[in-house]
Amino acid sequence: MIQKIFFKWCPFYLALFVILTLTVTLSHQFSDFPALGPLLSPFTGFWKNTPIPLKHQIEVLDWPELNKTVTVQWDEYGVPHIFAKNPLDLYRVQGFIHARHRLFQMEVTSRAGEGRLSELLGDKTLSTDLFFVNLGMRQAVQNSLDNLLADTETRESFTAYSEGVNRYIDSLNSKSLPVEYKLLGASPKKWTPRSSIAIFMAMTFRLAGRSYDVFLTRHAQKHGWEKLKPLFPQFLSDDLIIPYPSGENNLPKGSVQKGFDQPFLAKVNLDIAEEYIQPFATNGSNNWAFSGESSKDQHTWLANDTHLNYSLPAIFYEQQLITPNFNVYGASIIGSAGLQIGFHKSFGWAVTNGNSDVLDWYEVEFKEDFSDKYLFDKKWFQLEKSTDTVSSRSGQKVVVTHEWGKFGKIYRRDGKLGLAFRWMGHEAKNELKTFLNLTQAKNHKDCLEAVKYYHVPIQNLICASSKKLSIIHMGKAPKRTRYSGALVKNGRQTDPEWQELIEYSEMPQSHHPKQGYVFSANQRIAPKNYKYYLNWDWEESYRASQIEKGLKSMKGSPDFKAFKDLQSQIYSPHANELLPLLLDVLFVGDLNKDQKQAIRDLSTWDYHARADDWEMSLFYFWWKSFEETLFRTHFGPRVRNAYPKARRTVQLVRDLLKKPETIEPAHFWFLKELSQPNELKKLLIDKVNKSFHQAWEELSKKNSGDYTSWKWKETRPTRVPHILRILALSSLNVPKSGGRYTVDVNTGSAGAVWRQIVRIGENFQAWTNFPGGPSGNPFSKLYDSQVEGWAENQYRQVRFLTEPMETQE
Amino acid sequence: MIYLAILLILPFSFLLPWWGFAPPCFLIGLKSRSTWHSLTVGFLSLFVIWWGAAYILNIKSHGLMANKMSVLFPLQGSSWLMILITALLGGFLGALWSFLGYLFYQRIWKIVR
Repeated sequence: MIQKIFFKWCPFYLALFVILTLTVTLSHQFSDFPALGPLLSPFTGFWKNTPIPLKHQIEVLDWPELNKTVTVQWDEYGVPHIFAKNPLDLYRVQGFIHARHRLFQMEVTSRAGEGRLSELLGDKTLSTDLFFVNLGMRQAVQNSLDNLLADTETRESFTAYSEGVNRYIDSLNSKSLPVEYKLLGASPKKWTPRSSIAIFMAMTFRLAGRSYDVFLTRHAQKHGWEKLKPLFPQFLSDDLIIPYPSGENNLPKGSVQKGFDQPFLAKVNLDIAEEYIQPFATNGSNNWAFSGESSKDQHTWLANDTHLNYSLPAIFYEQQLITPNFNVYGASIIGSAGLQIGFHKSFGWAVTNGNSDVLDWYEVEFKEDFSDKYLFDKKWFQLEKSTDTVSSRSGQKVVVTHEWGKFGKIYRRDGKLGLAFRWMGHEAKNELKTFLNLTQAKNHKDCLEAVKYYHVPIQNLICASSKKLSIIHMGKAPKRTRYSGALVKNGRQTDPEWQELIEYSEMPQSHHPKQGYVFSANQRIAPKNYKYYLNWDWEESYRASQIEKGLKSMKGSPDFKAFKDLQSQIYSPHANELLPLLLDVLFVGDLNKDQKQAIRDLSTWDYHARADDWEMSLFYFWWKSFEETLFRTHFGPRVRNAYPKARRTVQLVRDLLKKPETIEPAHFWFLKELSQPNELKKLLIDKVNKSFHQAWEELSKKNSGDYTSWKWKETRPTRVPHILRILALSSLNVPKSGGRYTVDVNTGSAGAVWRQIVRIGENFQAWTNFPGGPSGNPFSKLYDSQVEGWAENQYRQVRFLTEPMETQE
Repeated sequence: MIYLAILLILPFSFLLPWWGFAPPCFLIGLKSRSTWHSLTVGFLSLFVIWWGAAYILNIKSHGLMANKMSVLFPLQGSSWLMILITALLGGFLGALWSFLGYLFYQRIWKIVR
């Protein structure tokens, strides 16, 4: 009987087992492969992530934690206008709205800043995390957090902001989670002020973490500093002479022009190129302003476009913030209370990256190979140690040991020697207070006051009211009285060039210049006779010079069209400087019919990098291949390796081709050592020709069709990728014009991620555009709604509200 | 029978996690006439529900949802294929759970009683 029942029941239990196993398996995430069941089910999965239609709507919020009701007006572009009765309520709702649109982006950016990506994404981000943890990012975040919490205003504001974010997180369940969490099978982490700081610190690294020192020293170890000097000069002779138009301020004068003759040359192994993550060289920006005192329409005109690597969701979030005491419109980095760039009727501010050198490297010496003792000022000192753990979702854990000494932090050890660094990022102050105060600033005076809490990343800040105009190199840099910090320094002794920081009053700045305008584009910021040394590695003044020319040509009557044309200018001064030189020495006899025609066409090019034209493609590939032909043998491949500045290369080429009799043959050692000018010239011409044919071949291989089909947008496509590089959620093949050295910078992966033009005064108006949209939901039209308009330079006039509108439509 | 099944499955799906369809499908299976019948009813009812829900939600997102996810999966950007695959998975699971119910009724319920 029992046997009979068993056989009767058996099929059911077997089926139960199989079907249960299948269902459970479908609920399970296998490393990168998502759990298909919950993901595909239209009751829980990605289908549930229908976008919230936030257009033409009014939301009235009366949560218990708000002191007064807050009203949010959504306009036709999906931009929120937040009306609150006090700043803390405002930041609470700001946090909530940021999270509702961009929670996943916020978490990823914040984790990146602290080296905690792998906890969410698994082993593939371990090396990135290790890099940032080894840079001491967690300590930097802690230091900034201490400063933020010590100040009542920032503590309260960022706590309120976090409450808003967490209110949204608490409202989520497995069905309403942002789709990326569903794909990863993860859930969001609670937000704290620390999370906001981590985002700002990640930005600090992107803007102030760039350093040539290690690469340059490696070159020097190989070739000697004497040979490098002419290729990496302290001053570029063709660059702008007066970087900030002079104003009322008298900068402290001195002489630091003289470079070090016999620099210290480190012996420590510098083979870190592969692991060292360099921020984009193009992380920069443009800003300029025309004063209402000098302009014919008596309004101040202010422009800003910030250059970072493109990403979806957009890096910036557009919004208007209104309380009884202030009313301001602009953009904030996601995850942060207040605004980073903003304006209103009587005042506006704009930022570009400052580029002063705030990261120095040192060679240090230990007593023994694994000793804790290091040599400093002829005595042995004990290293201070601490550890951090980098953990991965896979369960893997890596312990990082930090070692700190009087020189800064050890980056890596190499027997008895070590490579250490000191970075201003570790000495940040309360930068977010500056931005909160700018958000609430009424006028020019408030702006100058807000600067005081700021250390790093150094920015060129324009403060503009309808009558007053200033530009300030905002932040703190070491008080270097001589050229120092281009190479890895000697860390065995007190560094005389990094003892004190330059006082605010002595930082480069210009107030109410008589020209009536100010501008910056990451160029050298102080004139040659400035008392302190700030850096050698500035952006060439290609953009800055074009901007100055543009401002001059407005002849005192700036308007929207003139500003827009300048902001979207795609003329390449670099191509204009270099291409005629190259074309001049190309052997026509070696060219085929197609090439001959292309060269004829190219010689009439107006040097505009248009997306639909082919000229920039040919020039760009030629330039890239030419640069490699010149320097690869000595300096290695282009990626992450220091080559001379593009403009320096152009100068050397021009000198050798046009006036070979004036050159110093030793400067051209990279072509051939101990050579006569004429021989060098011949060698260079060879390289020009060789690189042309290489570039032609590369382009022909990549593209079918003749050269006129080598469209710039296709040979070097512009991509706005999803934050996790998920192609399906990215904007690919965006028809964007512009190149590396045009005012409208576009490298294909980086460029203007926020643009604004503001007319400050009685008839206040403002326009913006940026590659993205308000929403972070990839299924929303508002996710990438503005990418196309951005690529085509269509600006939106912003709705500046003083009270909520009636709901339309 | 299918109408009844759909009416029964919907509330469970809304209230429970993604596997919310399993208990009602099991119940439907109890009342099925044959193996074939249990499989068809389970398949069809869940296929229809998942198709319909995915279809409506996709329209709400202006078609962006199925389109983008179909690139990710990868189904070459075909929204229909994305919806079809969703519905097929649902139908497949619905059929299995309904069949399990049938099996339970035939092999255990009847005998124990």
